[in-house]
Amino acid sequence: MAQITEAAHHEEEQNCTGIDNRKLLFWVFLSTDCLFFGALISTYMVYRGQSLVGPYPIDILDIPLTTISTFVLLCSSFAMVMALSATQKDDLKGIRIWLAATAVMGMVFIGFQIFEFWEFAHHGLLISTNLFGSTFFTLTGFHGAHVSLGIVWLWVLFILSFRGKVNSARVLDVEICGLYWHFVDIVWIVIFTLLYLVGGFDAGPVITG
Amino acid sequence: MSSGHGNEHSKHPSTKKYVIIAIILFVITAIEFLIILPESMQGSALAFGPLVLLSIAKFYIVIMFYMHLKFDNPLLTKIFYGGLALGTVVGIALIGLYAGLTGTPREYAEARAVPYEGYYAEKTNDSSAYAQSLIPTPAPMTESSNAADASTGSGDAAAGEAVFSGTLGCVGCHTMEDLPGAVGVLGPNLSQIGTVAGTRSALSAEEYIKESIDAPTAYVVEGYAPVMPELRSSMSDEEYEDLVAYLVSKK
Ligand code: HEC
Repeated sequence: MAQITEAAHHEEEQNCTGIDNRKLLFWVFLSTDCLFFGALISTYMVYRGQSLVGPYPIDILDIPLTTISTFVLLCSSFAMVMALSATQKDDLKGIRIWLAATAVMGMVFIGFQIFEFWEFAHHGLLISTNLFGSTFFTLTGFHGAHVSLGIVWLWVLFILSFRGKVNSARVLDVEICGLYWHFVDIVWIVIFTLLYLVGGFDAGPVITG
Repeated sequence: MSSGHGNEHSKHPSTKKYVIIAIILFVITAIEFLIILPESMQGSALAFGPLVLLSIAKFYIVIMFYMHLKFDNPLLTKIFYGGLALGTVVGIALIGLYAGLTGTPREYAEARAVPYEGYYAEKTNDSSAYAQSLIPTPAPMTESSNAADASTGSGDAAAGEAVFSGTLGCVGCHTMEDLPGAVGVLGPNLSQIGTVAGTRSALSAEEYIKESIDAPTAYVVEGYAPVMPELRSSMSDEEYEDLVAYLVSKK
């Protein structure tokens, strides 16, 4: 028991690379997560424009609304770096405010997504409706799941801050959570560009004689 | 950006820089939105380049400053770029495989699709029929055999209804008024096909219906896309005869 506490106080556990083990592992994870999302995004792109029945992207995607939720997510990334810098300064009030702000903005983003999925379902687009529905919901759904996990993580840190467990000696805890959060943000940057800005105007096959 | 000296924490950008970065990210997103605002740019190839470049810029700024790869051990950047590159290459390869070789993905698939011969045999557990289907036989529905079959009319219309509403998926694209569930709208309404078929071309009603199934693109009804799949090879000869008899009876 004493040993474990000892280790916990030892913030930087390094290996021959000079990088903390946890941080190194986390970057390896993010690197593999690129492959995960890469596969889902590619699948969407391969099946793009191949649905035989509607609704098609142009019929239901709400780009202005999604632009707003994109802004919210970008803002949350800013709040996250502020939380990290508050942790470095041992500014407990700042830590709590910025962690909560990040989590709340994440929840707003998820709220937009739930609304979007709901709207789509009402317009007849389900995951089984057509290729667009299958690939769209799989990709954005997994992204939403990532965001949701990040929200839980942030609230956990928020609660820990009341037990005095978030401070400059444990800055890595916040930093790694931040890495995850920003990663989810950059994945959204790609999804927003490809699915909404580029592919959002895709229509169905031209019905000609 | 930073002097690069001092302890790890001072290497991170200051609050002021974080604010500036946030503003830059905002501005880029706003520009992206403005690019696709004019209707002429929506879905246009012209918008693609700028949009991709702008999002790469955003991506880069976030990983370099928010995720401070710029200030961290270069090994982390290499690890991340490794995964990113692999993911991107796999994606490009996949898209290339479908789209890059010939025409659009759809044309590529249509030109190469091979009917799944084993399906019917598996379903009926008739292994000899399956074995036979593997032996290349003259196509059952050439022009001449088509004409010969036309006189037989041996199908059972009641059984044909089951074929029509079965796993082949006709009902997903065609409406048949007296058949619940047959409400598809991608193809023409077939409620009176027995009459309509005779007026489509020089062929008789039965011949025309057979042609519609054997070679869906031989005659494409005006106002519809040539998307009806070739399903003749997915049904047995008996099912085919029944289906034709059923459709002919729809007057
Ligand atoms: C993917 C959707 C789709 C499926 C599945 C489909 N069709 Fe079609 N079908 C169409 C379309 C579209 C047309 C009109 C264009 C054309 O003539 O090729 C059509 C045309 C026809 C016609 C000619 C109609 C006319 O008014 O001249 C017949 C007959 C027909 N289909 C029968 C069938 C049968 C039988 C099946 C099931 C084995 C079937 N279709 C499955 C889409 C489909």
